[in-house]
Amino acid sequence: MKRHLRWVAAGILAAGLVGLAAGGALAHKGKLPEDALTLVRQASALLAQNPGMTGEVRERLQAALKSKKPAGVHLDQVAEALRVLDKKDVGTARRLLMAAIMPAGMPMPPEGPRGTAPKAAATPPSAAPLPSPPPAGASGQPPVVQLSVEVAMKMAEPLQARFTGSKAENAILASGLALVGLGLFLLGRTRRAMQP
Amino acid sequence: MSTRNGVWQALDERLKLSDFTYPVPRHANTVAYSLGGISLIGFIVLIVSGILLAQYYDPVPQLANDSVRAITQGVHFARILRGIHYWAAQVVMLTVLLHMFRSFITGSFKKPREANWIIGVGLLAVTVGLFFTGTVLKWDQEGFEALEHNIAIGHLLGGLGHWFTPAFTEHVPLLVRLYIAHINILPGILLLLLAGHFWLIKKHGISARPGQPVGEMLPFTAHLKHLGKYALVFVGIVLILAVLRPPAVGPAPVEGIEVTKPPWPFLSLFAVENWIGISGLFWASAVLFILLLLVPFVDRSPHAVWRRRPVFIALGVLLLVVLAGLGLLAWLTPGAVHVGG
Repeated sequence: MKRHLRWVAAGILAAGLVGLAAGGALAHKGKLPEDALTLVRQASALLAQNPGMTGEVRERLQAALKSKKPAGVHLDQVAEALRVLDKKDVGTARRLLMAAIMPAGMPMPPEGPRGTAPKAAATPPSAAPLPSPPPAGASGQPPVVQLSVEVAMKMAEPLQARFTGSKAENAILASGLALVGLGLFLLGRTRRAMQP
Repeated sequence: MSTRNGVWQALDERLKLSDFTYPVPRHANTVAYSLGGISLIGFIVLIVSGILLAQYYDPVPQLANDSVRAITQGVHFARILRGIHYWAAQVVMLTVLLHMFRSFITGSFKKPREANWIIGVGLLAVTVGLFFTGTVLKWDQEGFEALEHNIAIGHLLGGLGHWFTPAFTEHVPLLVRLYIAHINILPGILLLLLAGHFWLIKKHGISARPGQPVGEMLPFTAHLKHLGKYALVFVGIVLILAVLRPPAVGPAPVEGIEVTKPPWPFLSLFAVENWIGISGLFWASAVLFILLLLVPFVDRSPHAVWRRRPVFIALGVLLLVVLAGLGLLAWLTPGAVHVGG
C-alpha cells in the first residue's frame, strides 16, 4: 500500500512538472490603444524602462502616426523620434517623445549630461493628463504649466537612493555592524558552551 | 530573597510566566531548527517598520508612487525605514522557504505533525501574498504590472476571483484594497495561523533530529534567549543593507505595456508564464501548493531520516532544481507581454 502511495505521489509530481513544461502556446498579446497620446506615452515608458525594446517602441510610434485620434501629440516630433530611433539614438528619441506629448508652446526639455536626454514622462493610468497650454494672450499661466511638466519629468526618472556617508547613515551602519558582531559573538559563546 | 527574585515571583504569580519554561530539545537552538523563529523575528521587524511606513504612504493611485518617492528622498529617515522593510521582507521570504525545506528534509511533517505542516503551507501562502502586495504598493511599472497580473488571474477565476478585479467595487480602487490586504487582512490571517502553528508546536514538541536521540532539554525561555541573539544578527544585517543598498523605486507606471520582470520569488513562475501565458501562472502556483499540501499524506512512512525516504527526497530536490532552473531561465531571458500590451 505504502509503495503504491509513493508511486501516486511520484506520478502527481511528475504530472505537475510535465504540466509546467508542456505549454507551447505563445503569451497573449493584446491590441494597441487607438489614441496617439497613449501610444506615445507607452513608447516613452518602454524606452525609459528598457531601451532594448525598440521593436515594441517602433510599433507604437508607427501606430501613433497612423492614429485617427492624434489629439495632444506633435506628430512631427514622433516621426523625428522614429527616424532617430532607426539610428539607435535612444537618448534623443526619448527627448523628442517627451516634447511630442508636451502642451503646445512649451520648450523642449533640456539635454542631460553627456548629451543624454531626460527620461520620458510616464503618467500613471489614473492620473490627470498634463494641463492644456494657456490660451493665446493669457498672462501668468505658463509657470503653472511648466511646473506640471517638470513634475511629470521628475516622476519619469527612476529613483535610486544611494549611500551618502552622512553622519546619520554612518551611525546606523555602525549600529548594524555592532549588532551583527554582538549577535555572532553571543551565538559563538553559546555554541562553545554547548560543546562537551 | 533578592529583589530580582521578588519581582519575578510577583510577575509570575499574576502573568504565569513560568509556563514558558517548558522543556525543548537543545537542538532547537541550531540554525536549521531556528529558521522558523528567525522568520518570526523578521515578521516583527516588518510589522513595526510597516506601521511606521504607513504614516507616510498614500495608497490612492494618483499619489502612491509620489508618496513612495517622497519616502525615498524627502522624509527624514523614512528611506532607511523603507530599506529595513524591504530587506526584512527579502530575508523573511528566504528563511520561510528554508524553514519549509528543512522541515521536509527532516520529516518534521510526519505523524502527529501533519496539521502543522498544512498550517505552515498556509503561512507560506500568506507570506507570498504579503510579498506580492508589497511589490504592488510601490506603484511603479513593476508594481503596476504585478497588479495587472492580479487582475488577469482574477478574471481567469471568474466569480471566485471577483475580489481581485476592479469590478468588485467602483468606489474603492483596487490598489487601496490591496493595501488594506497588505496591512490588515493578510497580517491578521498570518497572526491567526502563527497562533495555531505555535500552539501545535507546544502540544507536539519540537520534532526530533532524524535518527538521533532527543538528548538534553532546555527551558523554552533559554530558546527564546537564544533567538534574541539571532534577532541581533537579523536586525544588524537588515540595517546594513538598508543603508548600503536602499531599494529603488521606478517611475510612475504607464498602462498597456509589459516591460518588467517580477521579484525573485516569482521568477520561476514568470518562466512558466512565458510558455503558457497568464493561465500558466495560476496553474503552476496551484500545482506547487497542492504538492506541498499533499506531502504529509503521501510520505507516510515512519522514517524521518532522508536516506530511508529516497524517492520523496529526490522528488523534493528535483522540484527545487526545476524551480531554480526556471528562475534562472526567466532571469536570463528578456521580458515578454502576458497581459495587456
